[in-house]
Amino acid sequence: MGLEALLPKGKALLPLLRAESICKNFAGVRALKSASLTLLRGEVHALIGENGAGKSTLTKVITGAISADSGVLEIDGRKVDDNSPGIARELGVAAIYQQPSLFLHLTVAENIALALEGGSGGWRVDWKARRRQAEELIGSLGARIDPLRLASSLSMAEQQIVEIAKALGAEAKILIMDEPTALLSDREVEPLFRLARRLREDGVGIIYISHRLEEIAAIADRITVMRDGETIACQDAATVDRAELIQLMVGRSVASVFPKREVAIGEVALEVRDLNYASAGLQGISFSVRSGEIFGLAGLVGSGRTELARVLFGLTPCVDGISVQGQAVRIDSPRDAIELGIGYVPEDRRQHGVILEMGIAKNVSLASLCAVSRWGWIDATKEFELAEGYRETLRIKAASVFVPAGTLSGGNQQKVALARWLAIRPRILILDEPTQGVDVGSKAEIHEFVVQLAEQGVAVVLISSELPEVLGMCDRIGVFHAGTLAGVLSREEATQEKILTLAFGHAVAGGQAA
Amino acid sequence: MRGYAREASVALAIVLMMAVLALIAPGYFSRENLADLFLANMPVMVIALGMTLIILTGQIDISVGSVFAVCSVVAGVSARNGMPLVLCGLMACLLGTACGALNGALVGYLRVPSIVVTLATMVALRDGLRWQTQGAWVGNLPVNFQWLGLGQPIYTGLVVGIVVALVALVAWGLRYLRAGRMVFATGSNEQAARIVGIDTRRIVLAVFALTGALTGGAAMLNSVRFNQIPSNLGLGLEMKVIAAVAVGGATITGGAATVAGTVLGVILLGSIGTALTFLGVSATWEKAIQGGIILGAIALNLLGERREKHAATIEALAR
Repeated sequence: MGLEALLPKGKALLPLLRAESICKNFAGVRALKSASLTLLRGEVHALIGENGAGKSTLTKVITGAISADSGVLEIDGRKVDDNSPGIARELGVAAIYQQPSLFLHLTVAENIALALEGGSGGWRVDWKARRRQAEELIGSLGARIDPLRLASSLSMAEQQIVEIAKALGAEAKILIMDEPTALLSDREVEPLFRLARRLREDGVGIIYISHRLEEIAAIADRITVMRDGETIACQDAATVDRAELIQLMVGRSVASVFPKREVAIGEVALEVRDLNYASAGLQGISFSVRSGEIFGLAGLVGSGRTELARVLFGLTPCVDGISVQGQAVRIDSPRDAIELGIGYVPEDRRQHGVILEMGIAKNVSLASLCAVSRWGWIDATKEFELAEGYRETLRIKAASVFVPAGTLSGGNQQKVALARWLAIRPRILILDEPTQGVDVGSKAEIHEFVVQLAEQGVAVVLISSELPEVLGMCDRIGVFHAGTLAGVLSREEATQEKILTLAFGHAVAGGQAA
Repeated sequence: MRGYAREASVALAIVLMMAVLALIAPGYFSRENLADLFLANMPVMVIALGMTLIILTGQIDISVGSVFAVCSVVAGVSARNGMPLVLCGLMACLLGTACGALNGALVGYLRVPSIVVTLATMVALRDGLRWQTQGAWVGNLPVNFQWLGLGQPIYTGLVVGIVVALVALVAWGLRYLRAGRMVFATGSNEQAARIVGIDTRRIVLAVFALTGALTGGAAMLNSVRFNQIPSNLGLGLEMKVIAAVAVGGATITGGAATVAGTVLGVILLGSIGTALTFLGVSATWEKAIQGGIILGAIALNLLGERREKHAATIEALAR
């Protein structure tokens, strides 16, 4: 510190990090259009934005995990052209994430030592030195954790503190904290904040990513808002209020036109009444969906939307609270759900959706094998016709239905996943982020098919993090916050602001309480 | 999707070996030698069919050698106690099925890793048998036990028929049966298979049980060839079986294997030992050369997988 006071004032004010007009494309998808961020010494700089606004991509550019296509990156006054994890670390960039990445079977001291020594520790392990080092580092953070404890015995908050100790030991000047409190309880957050403030006093620059606006108000000095891969604004935290921030995060014009049409709404197809499921983090959820209706589920990632879908589909069976077509049902397995006429297009297409090695035809028939077979024997002609039919109606672009699904584009893979569930002739269809990572053309087509399904009387539950999609497609929108349904908005009253306000855990005037 | 490159390369290796043999040691192709070879490898072939299914679901079973021994001994002892031959065969099959089902239940429902489960059953069955028999061979088999065994030409024909039928049945089932499709789905992506309503636990149980049944059947067919049943039968059989499936191009992580590949793998590994003898290569080298072939096959497979995975990572990053 003393040295800095001797330096000319201008030098001390030189930003720790300057990222300007960073662009990054992933196979044609623009993750970052023009992202800029300036981090000063001794500040906590909050980085906020909706899911997919580009926050993570930007931090990955800074840590060198990915390289930018264009733009300027300066770390500690030095221009960095070919950033890499190694270079970034040498320049003093460290990051901690939502999920601590400790070696759970090793002690705290060993975890810290591994981070600091890397592969260069000499041939003999100096256990005493390791222990001393861990004690000093953790002590310097004002925390007390026995260095000999196993990482697996630590609470989430303690693990985060060890992560920070690792970062500090590496003499970090820039610390990126990516949703560090997402898995912490309120009580555990305070020590972490004390720590962050302490680091700030020592001149460390902290980039703080969080969805919790209260937290940001409590800790941030400045706030940068990102939207659609662009930096929208950089504000002084003291002068900006919450409503303004939400406005900045969403304030875009709805770019695409949605094909939503008026559909005659029928009987209640799916009803959820006071569904509680502690291990999935769901609490007191009630709503109903009528046939012909598109019911949107909005909310932040991890707020319980996907968990609810998994319960409804029998992947995490829940005792009661669900009725289908007016009848109370138990859904213990996906098989049960399918028999009740429920279809589920899961979120992660590659992991849970299509089977990449299998051909389109086999993928399409997989949930309705009984329909294309007799006495357990698959009728290849029937299977071919089924798949061929969907290839035409869903306009799946592929040379034939025997092409492996893994060779298709994201949009076409998603259409295959959709076809699989259309083949069971569902009465209720749950779509989890159906247009994520899908090109614009296929996206519009998928929207059109969903509307057509509603017209045919299917009750659709549409989970989406993309607000324009929810607003444009749905008759009603349920908003999740921390495992509860914070409110249900009708098509008329729903706005981006209202949804986000509910999603961030605030009450909305006029919104019907759920 | 992988084409049939692996199967083709194994077939090519077989053809090359045969060509060399035809030139240097045409005696290899004598009727007796071929029949001997076939009969000696019959258990490997039959069990490898089941193993193909197990490996398709991403599991492994190293207890088949022990199950084979137990089934053989039990069949022999029952025959000696006057049980009709057909019942002996049935019993061997049922016993095999039970052992397989036990493995499958532990793997599928309790989610114990299959290598651990089958290592345990391998050791338990093998040592249980040793303790029970005190290492003694089962002799004094009734005369009718070998009514189609020892020296009966009809036996070879019958076994060829059974093996061909089994191969065709498994190949056809994998391709055209709903159950076959479910096996592929389970091995390719268990999560996705569960979501489409496939009870993946039951699939795992079923493939282990079926392998057990095939092992019992193979044990019965094999023991009628001899007038004594050694209690240390089938030592190392599991390795021959797994090696054959792996050489045939199966991916150990599941989801990719073909019956044709397995058949070719059995032919290549089964004939290479005798071929080396016929070519005058010292018997001491046989195992080493076999090991080399297996390593080569697995390395090829891993390279292919890595390339696929690499492509997948790039695509995933691009999302």
